[in-house]
Amino acid sequence: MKSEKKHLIYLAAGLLAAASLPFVITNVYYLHVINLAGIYCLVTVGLNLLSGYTGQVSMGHAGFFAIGTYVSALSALDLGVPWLPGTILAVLSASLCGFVIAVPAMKLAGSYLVLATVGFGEIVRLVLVNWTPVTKGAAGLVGIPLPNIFGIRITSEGEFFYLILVMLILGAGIARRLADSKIGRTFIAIREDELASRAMGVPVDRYKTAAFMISAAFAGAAGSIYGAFSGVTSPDNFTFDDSVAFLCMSVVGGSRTVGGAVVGTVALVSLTELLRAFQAYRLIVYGLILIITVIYMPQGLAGLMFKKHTREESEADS
Amino acid sequence: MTPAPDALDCIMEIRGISRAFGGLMALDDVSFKIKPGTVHGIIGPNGAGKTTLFNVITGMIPPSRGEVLMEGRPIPSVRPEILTSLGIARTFQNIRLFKEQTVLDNVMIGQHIHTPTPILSILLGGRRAAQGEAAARDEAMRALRFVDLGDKASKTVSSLPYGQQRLVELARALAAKPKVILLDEPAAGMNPTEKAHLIKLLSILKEDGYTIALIDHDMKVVMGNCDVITVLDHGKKIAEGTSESVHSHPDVVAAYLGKGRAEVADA
Repeated sequence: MKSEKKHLIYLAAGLLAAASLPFVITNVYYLHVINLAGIYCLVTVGLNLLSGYTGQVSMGHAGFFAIGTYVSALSALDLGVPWLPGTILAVLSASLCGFVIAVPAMKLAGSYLVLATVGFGEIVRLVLVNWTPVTKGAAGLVGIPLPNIFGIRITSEGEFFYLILVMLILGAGIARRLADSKIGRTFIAIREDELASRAMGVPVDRYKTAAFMISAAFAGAAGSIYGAFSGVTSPDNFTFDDSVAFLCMSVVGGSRTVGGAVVGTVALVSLTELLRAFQAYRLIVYGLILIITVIYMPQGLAGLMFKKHTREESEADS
Repeated sequence: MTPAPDALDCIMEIRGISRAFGGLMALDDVSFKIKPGTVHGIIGPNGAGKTTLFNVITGMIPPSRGEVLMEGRPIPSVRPEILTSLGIARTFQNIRLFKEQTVLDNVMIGQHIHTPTPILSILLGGRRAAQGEAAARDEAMRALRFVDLGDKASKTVSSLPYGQQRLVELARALAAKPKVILLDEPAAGMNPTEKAHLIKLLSILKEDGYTIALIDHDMKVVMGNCDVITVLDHGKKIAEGTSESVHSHPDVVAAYLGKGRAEVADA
């Protein structure tokens, strides 16, 4: 009970700090980077549910992200669908693709599944490049309208910040609720031992499918805001490198917690900005960090941060 | 199809099960019945096909021939996820727990089919989800207290000693509220104290009306506690009966101690 109260206080303080960011950081460029990090967070939070909790590693999340971006942007550009319903469309479409990829995924494990997700990401990118009449091909989409939510127009970086913050809080909240429920417990059981889960009556295939769909839905929502936020988009934004980057963020932060996704994403996006001059070497740096993480802190940055905390708790228990 | 009276004296029937791995007959036309409320031992030397039999019963691998009936109805093969709903729960020879989860979570997974999954209530943090979790936790704690691990509920499974992990597996199986519990070498790796504890637990479970089928090498566990023992050797059933009758059965003695020199010469 006491620790629950403590958590709430931390949470409130964190939210307050986050909400005041646009007042502290007046540099528009920095705010832009923070906004991007927020969008990526939404993707990695979803990725953690799939890869961290359920153990189904995806290296194709840029594909779901792309579907969210294009569905929302195209429905706005071609059909005049406002942003919010467009986001719902994006979430549903990405989820549907999650369902489709889950079908072969049920038969695959380990590296074979990873390869299948890589294939999925590439297929999405190639469709975007080649289905020119709809996606405008490699040139991409321009003039994606700004969000207009019940008359509230989101235009400035600061306004986007709050919209993204709300989405992230909502997303992280949903992820936490799922993770702490019977569903999250079952996800972890599947990751730990699929056969034993089956033997205990867990419909493993159904849960795996759900994990793919939920995870894809997060990426879809993130894609929808990403398009509106950027105003332009092209297949170049959704390459294999981006999928790898998402996975790095998830692992570096700690893929087995919801908070880890946020920590990892913020850490890697900040690092990328700091090393802007060495842009070409981004993936090398990511790779190095990934190796160090896997060897020295398998629970990720979040694991390192909360380690002391949990030890205190377990001592208090005994 | 199956006459009703038969169902009374037989909760599970293994009917003509054969299973070949390539040219090797791991199981060759094995048939026997398990009576409700009994402890049924399945013994045999290494490679006799005991674990293969369990894996066929639990749908982990399909039989080449034959079928398994639970309360008169055939168990569909290769669908282990429906076992618990038929009233069958198992443990594994090489402990298969969810290692990174707490002891309590492990046991709660055992109740998967008995607990609701109110998605909307979970997302909204509603009462139904909270009540469902609380009920599941109580039930799991009951199973844990039964195996005397109530105080270990919040520990991570991988931090427990081997013998206790076996008991967590037993608790997880009990949480599935089975009629038949299949135990694959439940005493393996246990010290004498733990073994005595396990034997006591099994006798309580039997009194409570559970049917238990167990595989074990440990003669102390099998001989003293099983009502019926089926002996397998090279995939064939070579003997069945009470521990006394099996113990002195010439084929069983031969299977365990080797055949006499004369017989080998004859063959």
